[in-house]
Amino acid sequence: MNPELAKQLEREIGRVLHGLPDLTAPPGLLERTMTALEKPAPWHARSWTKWPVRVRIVSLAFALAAVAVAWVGWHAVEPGLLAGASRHLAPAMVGLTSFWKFLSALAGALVLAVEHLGKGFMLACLVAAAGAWALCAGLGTMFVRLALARPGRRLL
Amino acid sequence: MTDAKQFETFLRNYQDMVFSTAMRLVANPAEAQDISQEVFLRAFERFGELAGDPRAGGWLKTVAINLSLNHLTRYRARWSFFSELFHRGNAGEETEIEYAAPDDVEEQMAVSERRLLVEEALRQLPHAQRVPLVLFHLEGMRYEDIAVKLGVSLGKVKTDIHRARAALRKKLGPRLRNEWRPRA
Repeated sequence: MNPELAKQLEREIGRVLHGLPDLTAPPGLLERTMTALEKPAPWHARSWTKWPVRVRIVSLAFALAAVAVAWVGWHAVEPGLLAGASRHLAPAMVGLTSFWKFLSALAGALVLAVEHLGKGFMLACLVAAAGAWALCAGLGTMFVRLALARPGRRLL
Repeated sequence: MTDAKQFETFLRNYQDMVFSTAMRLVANPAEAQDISQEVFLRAFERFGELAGDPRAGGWLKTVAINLSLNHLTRYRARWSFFSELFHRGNAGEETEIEYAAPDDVEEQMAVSERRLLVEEALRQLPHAQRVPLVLFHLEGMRYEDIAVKLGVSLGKVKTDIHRARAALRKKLGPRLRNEWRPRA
């Protein structure tokens, strides 16, 4: 970039932006903030650092106990784990092979069905599936916004 | 005067400044309002120190900037997909922005129209360009501080700001040359 042009551009944009006054805050901001102050969120809805000290100590103790149990438990089962796993793996592999055969048969049947049903029907199915997906996405978004809605905030 | 009344007055005095800071960084009125509320909830926790302190404005601005940047990094990517689906439909929300009226009534229309154009152009900039530009020109931060704040290289900050300026100039066009000269 040309340094002289860049400087000129900086001056121009600086002049434009420095002339901007503050925006007017929405009228609802004052009310909703005062309401939030009068009715603070319960401790469990706040971040961990804002929980009461006793609850923080208890939760920390629980977390440490859970880690200790997991650590001790792992060392207790670990020696027999590999042997046990190899014993259990063999029947599972047989099951996997059967499942693969089942999937192959299903795929073959699907190909046959597509060949017989025709393109129009398949296209209609695809459109229906896309419509259903869009409906789920839309409803999901709406419910998330409803769940996270705050007083005075527009949902859509 | 009770604490609640004092705080309400404090909030009235600073709400425009806090909202503007958040709005220009996140470019979304609803999110800027959430951030402003959070700023004032934090201010209430320290109201004993902030009340009557001339540095309260600076403290509020710093918290507003930090919360806006946290919001952009933490939530924007997570919700961008569904948010963008509805973003286009929120055009009406964007036009709700208002400015304090200038003293000269005759020029009120032209001035607010120009300001609206600049704000609109600012909001249309990509987030990666708008944020460093706002931090530099409106919040008065240095390039080095912006790079540290955003966790990017100094070169990237300079390039993004330059691109943002060029994009703004392109959007605002001849208005820059004719209408924004300082008055004698």
